[in-house]
Amino acid sequence: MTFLREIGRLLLVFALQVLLFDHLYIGSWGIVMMYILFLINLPVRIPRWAEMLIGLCVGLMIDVWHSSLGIHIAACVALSFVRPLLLSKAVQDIERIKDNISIQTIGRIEYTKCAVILTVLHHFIVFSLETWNIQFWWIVLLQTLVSSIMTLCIILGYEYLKR
Amino acid sequence: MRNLLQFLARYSNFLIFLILEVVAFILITSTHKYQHSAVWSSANRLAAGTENIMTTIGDYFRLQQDNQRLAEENAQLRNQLIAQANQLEAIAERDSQYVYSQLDWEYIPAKVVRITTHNQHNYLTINKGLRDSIQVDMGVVSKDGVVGIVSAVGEKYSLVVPIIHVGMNLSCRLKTNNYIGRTQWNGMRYDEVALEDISRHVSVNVGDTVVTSGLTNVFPEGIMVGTVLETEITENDNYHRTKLQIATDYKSIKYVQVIRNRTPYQEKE
Repeated sequence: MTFLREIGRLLLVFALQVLLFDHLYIGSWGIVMMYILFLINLPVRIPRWAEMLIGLCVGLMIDVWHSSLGIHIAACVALSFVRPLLLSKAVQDIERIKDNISIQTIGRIEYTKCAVILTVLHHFIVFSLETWNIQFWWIVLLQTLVSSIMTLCIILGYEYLKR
Repeated sequence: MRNLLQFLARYSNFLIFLILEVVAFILITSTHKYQHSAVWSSANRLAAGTENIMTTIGDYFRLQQDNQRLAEENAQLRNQLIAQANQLEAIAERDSQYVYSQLDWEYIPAKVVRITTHNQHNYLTINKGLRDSIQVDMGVVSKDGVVGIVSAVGEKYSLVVPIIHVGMNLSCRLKTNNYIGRTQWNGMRYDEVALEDISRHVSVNVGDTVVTSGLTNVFPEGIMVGTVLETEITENDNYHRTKLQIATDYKSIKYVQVIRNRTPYQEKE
């Protein structure tokens, strides 16, 4: 049952990403990659290897759509690798939480902290791999900054408004 | 041995992480130029099919503007036709060879299903594929000028690399003095591209027209690429630093034509 619910969530987030948010961007600086909401909100009980495989699959789906094979995979796998470490640091006795990660389950400040770090990490990897040129480091930083703000607005906005 | 197993067990997550990242890097480097496989890109049937449905829905809301545009384009084409017919007649009398060389190209109309302009590696997906006899390395143009080159072909859809892709170089020449250069995009603005390899002794002026060179089999000669937006050269430069205004507006592009060369392709080296 949980499994089916997660699949449903993934499909919803994915559809929103490719059909709506892919078309919202500011110049070449700011793009929204809100699909990582799915990865951030996964339950903690999942084994870490499985979480990374899920990251790989989600990254692959986005990559196929964007014709950028490998870039989102690398970023999503890194996000999935870091997330459990971050959560265990940020939240005490994280194992007791059975549900998905959200503001309700781990608290406002903790959730915001984790979401910000994971989003910036993910975006930084995506943009540096895409640019792949040390000369343009400032473009990468600017893209990461603007896009992270946009993505976080969507993710945190959703989380705060959700009841 | 036991120590090794213990080590592996202890760092198994990290090892899986490393392996998956290596897989990702192999994928990136194997497709980083711009050769893609149709299945693993947006020319794949599911991705392109969905985008196709979405654009089709969007099209209904723009019918009026599109009709307007088509009417204008029709008029423009008709004018061109008349001009061309006159030209042909004049040329055919003295040089029949030239006429034939212009007839070697066939245009296959296609619709843009998806386009990105905000990435470093931008792509277009078009709704023609193998069964419309599209092949890799065919040129793509719009009514305004050059669009890009086909890089992967699926059964029903194809992936096109536009000029605004950092890995793309298009051979072109200045119309005024026939000097050959190439385009190189820096990943910034979707309507500007740099023109490289124009030596310092060549005169380049703002407003000059740049067209395809015809040196490759991909595009016929003389298709509009853009106009010179600004150009500068300092004491130490060997080449002009020139920016072009791209003739094609990638933001609003809807219909394109794939160019097929009827003469047999030459062997690639």
